[in-house]
Amino acid sequence: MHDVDRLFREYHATLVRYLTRRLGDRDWAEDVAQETFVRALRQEQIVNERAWLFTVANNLVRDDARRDARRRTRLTLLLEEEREMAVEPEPMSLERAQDAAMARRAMEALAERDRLALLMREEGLDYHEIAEALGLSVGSVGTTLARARRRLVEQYEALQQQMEHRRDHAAS
Amino acid sequence: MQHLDDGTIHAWIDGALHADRAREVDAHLAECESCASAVAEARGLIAAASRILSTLDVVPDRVMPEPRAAAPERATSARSTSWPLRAARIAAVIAIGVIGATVWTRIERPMQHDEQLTQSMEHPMQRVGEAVGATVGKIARDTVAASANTSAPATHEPAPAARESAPATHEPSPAAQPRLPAHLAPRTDASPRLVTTEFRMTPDAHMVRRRVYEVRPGVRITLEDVRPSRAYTEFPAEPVARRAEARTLAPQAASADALGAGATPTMPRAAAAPGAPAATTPAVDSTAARLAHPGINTIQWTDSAGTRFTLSGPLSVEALEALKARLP
Repeated sequence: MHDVDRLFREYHATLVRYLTRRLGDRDWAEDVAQETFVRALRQEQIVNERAWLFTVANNLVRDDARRDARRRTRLTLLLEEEREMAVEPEPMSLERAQDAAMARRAMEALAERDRLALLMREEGLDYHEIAEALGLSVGSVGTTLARARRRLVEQYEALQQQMEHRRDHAAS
Repeated sequence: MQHLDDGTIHAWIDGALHADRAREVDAHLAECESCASAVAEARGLIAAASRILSTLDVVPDRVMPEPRAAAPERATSARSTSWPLRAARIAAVIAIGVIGATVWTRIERPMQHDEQLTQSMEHPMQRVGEAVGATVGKIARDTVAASANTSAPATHEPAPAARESAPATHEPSPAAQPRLPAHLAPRTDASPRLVTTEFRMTPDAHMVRRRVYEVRPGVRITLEDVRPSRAYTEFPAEPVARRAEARTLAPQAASADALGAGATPTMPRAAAAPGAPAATTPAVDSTAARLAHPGINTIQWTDSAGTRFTLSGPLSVEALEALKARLP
């Protein structure tokens, strides 16, 4: 049996942030994180806890993605309904909203493996952990990250330029 | 030695190379300008990628669990500014506008009378200076008074300069609020606002999510839910019909602790709907616990997905039932 409190305390926040960045949906991220910890607690022994948690979380997200579209739509509707009912949105400037939208679009331009490697690295996973979670060789993680970072930044800058161009066009 | 490839450079920056390999890279970088500039570029990419990814943390309606626990509180206090205080601020803005107009008028007017130009320029400016001083002092007093006593209407006379424009904003009595256009009215009966979200794990491997909502300033309720594994994948096709079982229970100490010191056990504006289920015989009735936390009520229910909810706060059971419908 693991030390429940320690495992949760050490990895919950980072796992939720990773999943939120990846999925763009905090509720979904929290649910996946919950299930990940439940599975961890049922596991007799985990050698590398962080890599294990991220691997399970990735698998759970993949499983979710395979579920039928109707159920997914239903869930989305429920989440939207819940948000409308319960929470006054945090004030978010137009600029920040645009940044977030551009970042999301730039991220989506990456291959999935590159994207996940980058997000996990941002959460502090080392190359061995990323390799384990994604089934890569350790030697290829550097190349994967280099490609992911370059493409992300290039895509983001291209989107920024497009937006500025549109703005200039609208102003003239 | 060949030039370094991107993967090696990123691995070197990330500290992921074996010591031997890292030493080789160090030696090469000391000699190769081309690779040194590639390292500089890679550092820029890493920083830029981090910054881009951090913008994805902006999710409009939830609070990150741990990193900045204080931030939501600060946002809450900003949003829950009392109506009288906001009225005083609006009055201040209007008063400053009026003062500005007065300054302009009094400077303009002497310019039209050349024979009085010199003395008029001195005189009005002096008067304007006095008016500004008096009005600013007045606004400060009003603001302090309004924030000190949020329920009493402000009784101060508006400053002379602001008299014509500002009086309406100096009468912030609650009775006057419904006359405001709907989009300007303070949201005293708005949906409860999420203040904090916490998670904990029970020894039997269930995750408990505990959310604190503010019903209105000073009145907070706590909603705990214990979700079964993968509850969200089991939503039925029809809207969730919640199976309610309203019971007055001994409040949990943890829930009571979350309540603000200024919490008042009064009904929210949106009182219990006529059809709301009434409290039934208490399933658990711990007199000692209730005496320890008088006025704290708790209701529990389970939704069709199997999630167990516990809602507690300094409100009547009927009020909690009414609020339940407005909570996730």
